[in-house]
Amino acid sequence: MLLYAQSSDSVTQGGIAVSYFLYPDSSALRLQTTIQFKENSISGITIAKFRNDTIRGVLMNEFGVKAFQFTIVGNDCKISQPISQLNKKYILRTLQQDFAFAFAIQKTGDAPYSVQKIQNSTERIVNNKKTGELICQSDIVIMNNIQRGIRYTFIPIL
Amino acid sequence: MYKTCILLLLSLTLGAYTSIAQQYKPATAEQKKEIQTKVAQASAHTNTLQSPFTQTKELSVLSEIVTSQGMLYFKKQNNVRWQYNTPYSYVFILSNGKVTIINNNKSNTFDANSNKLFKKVSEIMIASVNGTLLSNETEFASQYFVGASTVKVTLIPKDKELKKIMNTITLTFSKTSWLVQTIQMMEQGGDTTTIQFTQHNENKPISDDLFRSTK
Repeated sequence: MLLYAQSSDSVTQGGIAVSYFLYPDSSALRLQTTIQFKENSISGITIAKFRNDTIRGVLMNEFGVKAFQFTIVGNDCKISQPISQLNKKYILRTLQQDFAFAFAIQKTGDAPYSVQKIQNSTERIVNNKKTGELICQSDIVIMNNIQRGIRYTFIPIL
Repeated sequence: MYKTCILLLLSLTLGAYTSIAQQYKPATAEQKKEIQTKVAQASAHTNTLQSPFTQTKELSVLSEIVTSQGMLYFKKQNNVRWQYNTPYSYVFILSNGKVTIINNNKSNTFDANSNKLFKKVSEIMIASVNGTLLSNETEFASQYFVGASTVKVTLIPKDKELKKIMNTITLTFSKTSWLVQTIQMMEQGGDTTTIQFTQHNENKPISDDLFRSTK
């Protein structure tokens, strides 16, 4: 049985949206994940669970070596134990903001972005004057942080 | 009769404790040299390797242990196909400097150099599988232990960046085949990944197709 349904149709401007992912209630969400920044990228598997109002997860490479782990409560994300490449304040701040948005169950008024629907599967995500883009194509979620030039791709592993 | 039974029970118990305590002993200098030679010989004779594996990952943040099963395919020089079959289907291929991921029948290929640290981890995994990691004394300090039917080698990274990811890598080799049976990676944060290879098939033909993005 699934807890929350993906529903980009329910998004309203600056309003509340539900999670872009389906969190199983008895096992973990698994996503093939790529974070691309210019010519650099990190790829691996994100495993996440939603329990007691908290999302806990880890991004690790295919051999199980961890890139970082994260905890999301409401719309706040905390990343811990990052690999050295990511362990810089401005990088962590951006990752935390973007992961909070992508993974949170409900985006409330204090979410890092508000959402405006552009067309069927694409949503513009706005943070003050800086914009991003979130595209849902069947089960695939692609998030572009246009300001920082970072592209996240999440594909469910079934 | 009663005393005989007690004595028998005590000797069995002591024997059991003794065998557990002596499971692994630190290797002497001669034993270390012999292990390095035997593993290097086995590696030199291994052109292809396939083995089912079980991977266990302790994830402290999720308070759980994640177990997966799959198949390893290795072909000299550096072609690896790491195929997960359960609980999900997912393939990781490293070949000719490219990484290919196959998920949901869709493949995605990118340059292995796009992440130097994860590329290094992949290289370490390949070197663990083909036994060449033991000869890398530039990058790793090592401790050798000898058991009845296996030997254990614990490798400690010297590189500053790698040390931040991995505390130790422990390889267990069979004294029969001198091929790696278990790889255990202990991370700085305390999480551990253990990969156990259950049945080595050496030098059987492996099609190059298995290392291509379309498979």
